[in-house]
Amino acid sequence: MKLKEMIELVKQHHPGMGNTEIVKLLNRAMDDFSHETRIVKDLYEFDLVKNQRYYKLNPNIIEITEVHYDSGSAKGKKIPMLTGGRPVEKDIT
Amino acid sequence: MAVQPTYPHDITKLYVWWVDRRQIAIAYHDLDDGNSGYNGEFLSPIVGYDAKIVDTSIAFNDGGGGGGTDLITDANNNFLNAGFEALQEITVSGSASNNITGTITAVEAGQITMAAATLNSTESAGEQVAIVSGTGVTVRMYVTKRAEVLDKSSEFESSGQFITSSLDDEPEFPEQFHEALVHNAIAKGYEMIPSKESFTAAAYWYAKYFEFLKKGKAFADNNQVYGSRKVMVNPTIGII
Repeated sequence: MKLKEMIELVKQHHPGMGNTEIVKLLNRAMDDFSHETRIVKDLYEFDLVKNQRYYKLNPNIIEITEVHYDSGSAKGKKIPMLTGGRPVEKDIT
Repeated sequence: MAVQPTYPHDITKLYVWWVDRRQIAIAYHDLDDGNSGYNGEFLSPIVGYDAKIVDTSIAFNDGGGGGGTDLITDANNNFLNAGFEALQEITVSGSASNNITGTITAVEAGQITMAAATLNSTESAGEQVAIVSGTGVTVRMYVTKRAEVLDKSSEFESSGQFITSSLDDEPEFPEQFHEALVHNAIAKGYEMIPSKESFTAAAYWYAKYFEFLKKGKAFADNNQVYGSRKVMVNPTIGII
């Protein structure tokens, strides 16, 4: 369904509402729907740099489901997630 | 200082990841460093590029072939802090006319000097240019993401949100769930009208929206469109 059709459907109930306001509501609805359902899946890649621990995440990412290492003989192997998040002890660079 | 094992090693046993402040951390979990003291420290990876910068602020100054030096400059980043050093071989990609491989002769904070005739031409900043040294190691993340809009005029690329000037855009999730957005917007519209009838109407449209949420969750769990399919394997006849 195109945005134009969505706006027309909303206007059937709220004829006084402007396009800009409806588009804002639809954008918030789209965020809410994708957060709640986890319906859109995707793949992102980045390259490791020696001695660099942290890499910025795309702000659209809701949840990382798996991380794979993709080089040489280890191609496609899964890296496990550290349970509990950032280690508070023994974390040295 | 713990000593890390020689690469390659079994990364699936020794590396871990976690998320911290909108960044992903990749770390080597040093279970047995062979040193005295405790084991189990988390250390940054020892594999990957020696240095890497990607930015639109990188410019090129071709000194010509007659003994003039070629320069790569960057107003935003510090080449020294990024790990670039003299005698490193670097590869440049993403530039309009200077996608080259060459050896660094000198490095300063905002400038890399290359041997004469390494660069092809002088080029202003603006392109998304990548400069790397060493061998890259790719990490792939499988994620769920915030839905964006599909622009069918640009071969179904998804990007950004709805805008009033692109009325042909559609959400990037399957069509049977598009109506959910309309139901949510109608409900929110009724919420803004202060009357009992409107709140009743809002509750009705939210209930319809929640039905879509339930179906959407089931759809996402089944991997019906995106990602790998779930299959059963019979040891005799293979995949069923």
